[in-house]
Amino acid sequence: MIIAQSLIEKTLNEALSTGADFAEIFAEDSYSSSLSLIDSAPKDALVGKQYGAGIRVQFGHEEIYVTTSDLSEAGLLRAARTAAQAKAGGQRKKQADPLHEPVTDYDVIQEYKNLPWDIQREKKFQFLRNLDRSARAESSLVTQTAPKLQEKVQRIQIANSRGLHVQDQRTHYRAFLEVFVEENGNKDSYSKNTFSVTDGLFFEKINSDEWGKETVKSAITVLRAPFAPAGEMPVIIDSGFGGVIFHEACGHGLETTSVAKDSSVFCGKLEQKIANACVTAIDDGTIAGGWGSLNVDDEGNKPQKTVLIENGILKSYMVDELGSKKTGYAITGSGRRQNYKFAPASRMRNTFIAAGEHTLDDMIKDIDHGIYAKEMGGGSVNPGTGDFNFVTREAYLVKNGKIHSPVKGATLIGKGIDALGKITKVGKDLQLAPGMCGSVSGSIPAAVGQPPVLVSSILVGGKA
Amino acid sequence: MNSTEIRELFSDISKRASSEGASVELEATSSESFGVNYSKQNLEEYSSDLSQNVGIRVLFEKGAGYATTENLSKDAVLNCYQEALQSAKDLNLGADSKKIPQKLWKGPVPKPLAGLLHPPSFEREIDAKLQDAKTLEKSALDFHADIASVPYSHYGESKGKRLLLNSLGLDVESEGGGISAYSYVLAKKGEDSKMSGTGGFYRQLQKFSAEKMGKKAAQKALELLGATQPKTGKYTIVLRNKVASSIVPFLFGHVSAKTLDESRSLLKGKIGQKVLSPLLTIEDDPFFIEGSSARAFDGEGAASQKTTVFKEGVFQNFLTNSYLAEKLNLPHTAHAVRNGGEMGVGPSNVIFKNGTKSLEDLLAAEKNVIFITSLEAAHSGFKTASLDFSMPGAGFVYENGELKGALHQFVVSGNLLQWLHDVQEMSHRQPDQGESVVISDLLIPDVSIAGA
Repeated sequence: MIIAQSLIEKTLNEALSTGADFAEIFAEDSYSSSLSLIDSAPKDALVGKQYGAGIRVQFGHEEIYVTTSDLSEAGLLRAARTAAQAKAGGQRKKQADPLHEPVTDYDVIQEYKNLPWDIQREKKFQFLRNLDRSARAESSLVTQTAPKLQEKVQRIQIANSRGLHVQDQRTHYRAFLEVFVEENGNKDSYSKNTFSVTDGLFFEKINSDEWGKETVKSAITVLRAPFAPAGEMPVIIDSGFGGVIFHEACGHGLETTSVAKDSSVFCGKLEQKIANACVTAIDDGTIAGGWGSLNVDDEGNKPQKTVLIENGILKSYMVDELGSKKTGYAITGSGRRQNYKFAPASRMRNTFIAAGEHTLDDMIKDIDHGIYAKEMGGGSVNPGTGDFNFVTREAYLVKNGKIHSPVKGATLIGKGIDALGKITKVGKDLQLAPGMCGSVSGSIPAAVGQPPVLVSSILVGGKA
Repeated sequence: MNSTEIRELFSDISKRASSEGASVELEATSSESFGVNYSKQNLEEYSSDLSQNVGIRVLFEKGAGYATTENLSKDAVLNCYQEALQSAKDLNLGADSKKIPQKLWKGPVPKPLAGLLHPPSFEREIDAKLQDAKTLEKSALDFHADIASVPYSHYGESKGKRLLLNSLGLDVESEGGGISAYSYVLAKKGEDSKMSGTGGFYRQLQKFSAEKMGKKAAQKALELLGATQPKTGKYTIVLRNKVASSIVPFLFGHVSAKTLDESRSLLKGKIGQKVLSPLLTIEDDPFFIEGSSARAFDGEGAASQKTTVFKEGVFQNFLTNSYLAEKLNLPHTAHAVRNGGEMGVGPSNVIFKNGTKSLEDLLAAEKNVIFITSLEAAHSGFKTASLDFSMPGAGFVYENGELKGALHQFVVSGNLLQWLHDVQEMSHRQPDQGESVVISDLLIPDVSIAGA
């Protein structure tokens, strides 16, 4: 337990002292580590400990959030007083309900083994050396590699004035390989990554030879590619990280964080057709081993599988506690935050377009002149207008029903609601991929996914 | 833990390090911040943060280890030291025999830099601060009937202290702080909706006006209503000063000696060569108090200094810390920064020498000019290795210097080095609030824009 139960109760009562109708503590004690190589030798080994608590109080729809890294009794009570006195002059309305015994046993969405401190560091460096070696052996165009291993163990404790009290431990492991290539004075880079949320020894199952080879191959493809043509054209977005289109173009607009403020283009559209009938989209926090899965969300609620769009009809938003209070929609276990420094907000978990019936070949055959986006990069959206943008990391020109040649710099832009209506084919092969999603409550692990999808027309920002 | 207690604990850690044949550096930071947002004139978020952190660097032969902790109990800080020591030993085992070991900084004591903290700016009653946050939203909402909402509006303050100690006797302290605010406004007319806004950093409260900022944000959103897509083609553009300041940091990634050391800098071998337009003279100025990156000393305690990076387009200097200056035989420019503990290199305030023309002169420089007032998603649209980019933008089209309409939903593509090489004119209009990159509007020909 990070904070003793009696101190939590005292702190919650202090936070309620000026008339708040809800108080909550989110405490955290986290370990993170990062190891990397440069010039084929260990570059750094960083270890960080995050330690602190966020105290949240609500007066109706108004929310106060105070954080401190001083978890002594004096520190916590000072933070609780600061929160309470943000609405000075009010009278206490209630005492906190007695806390339940802490819940620590969940429906095993995530299980953990081989914690970072139980694994010899040399084993980890050896894995990074293998990646470096395989990449450099693949091509003389490789001028540098940057393999990296990141580990995070987050212990949390959440308690609120309704008596909720939960504890959990989450682990997130991620390995990256970035390679830098140069030819005739032109430079470029490419990176691939993989993850685990359960096993600190996940890297032992990775075929580093194959990974190194594939990353270099993609880097050279991008290095030699000319800029993409510019203009409106059909685009096939491949499976896995291609799901970032849905995440950016629609997902953020379906969070009550923007819906409650009436600043989403999807406000008031429940049960309305917002996409082609071939589109079913889901946000699921319960997938075993999923990058964005949770035993319990950051407000202490159970995560759910939330069907957002079913056959083109909008079925649900993603709803956190405050979003539920403001909109009246039922909580979906979507309250998330990067760490104790952030108040929770409704956020995505594992978000994907469900599998359809087409093959990638079917889609390519349909295109006379367009783009096949094999690997997507990041992007962003303005939920108020629905304008989105995202970059392709590896893309190909499609001509006369065939993949023609690689291109670079193909940024895709549009409006989410328009793009949903233009998805005309959905493939069979659903895959999910890990990502970090940045928004109001910080940067959180969130998976995106989809099978290949064909968008009949989208603006490609290549070079004129 | 206060500064005296930290110094006492460091003395103990330093002795332990010495007995292990290691040397050690400790950075302790503490900060207080406050922020508030209103939505539809109701308090939406009120946040307050008290933070403390210790970062430890241990040097053991050729290895350097880093660890940080927010738990400042004696045991936790000692444990942090042990983690850093272990990492240093592990890295020493794997070090190349030719590797030059890092050294702790020992040099002249940095002079204090006055003005980084302006206490009166923080001493107002809380109600006055809440009122500013309310005004920030209200002034935008009341500006025009087509303003639908203010989805993002924030008033914030932060101040903090930093203490840096090392086994060679370094003991330097500084404090700083400022006010930051932003307003992003949604304008709607029929089915057309546009969002735009503005924000800034201020050392002194008197330079900030919530009402002006809210109105300016609303004006910017309204101006974009009715925007059309430009035709795909090559255009002469004027890049708005604040937009230019958002992409310049990507260039400075290549000015870092760390990037050079890792064989990734596009500026390798280019010292003394004309790389940018002769109109561009760029200094790194840590003494520019209004800038958010002003500082008296760098991340390892070396006294700050002004550095000319480009002079009339000619590349002058990489930015270095003491280790990389020695390793690469470059001048030491005192630009050590701590990236999550690890010692890296980074700029302070990047200041472009002002141009001579007005914005109007630039907009009338050609028959058709596109004035780019926003470029989105630099985090994903920029390739740091090549400085190629492809980013969505918004702006206005001018014909013979006359505004003809707003533009949206287009993608601007190019290469940042090429753009800065091609700059034809520069205005004398610099942003009116503190930024860490201070630059004027730029006139750039032959820019690729993808639209209708």
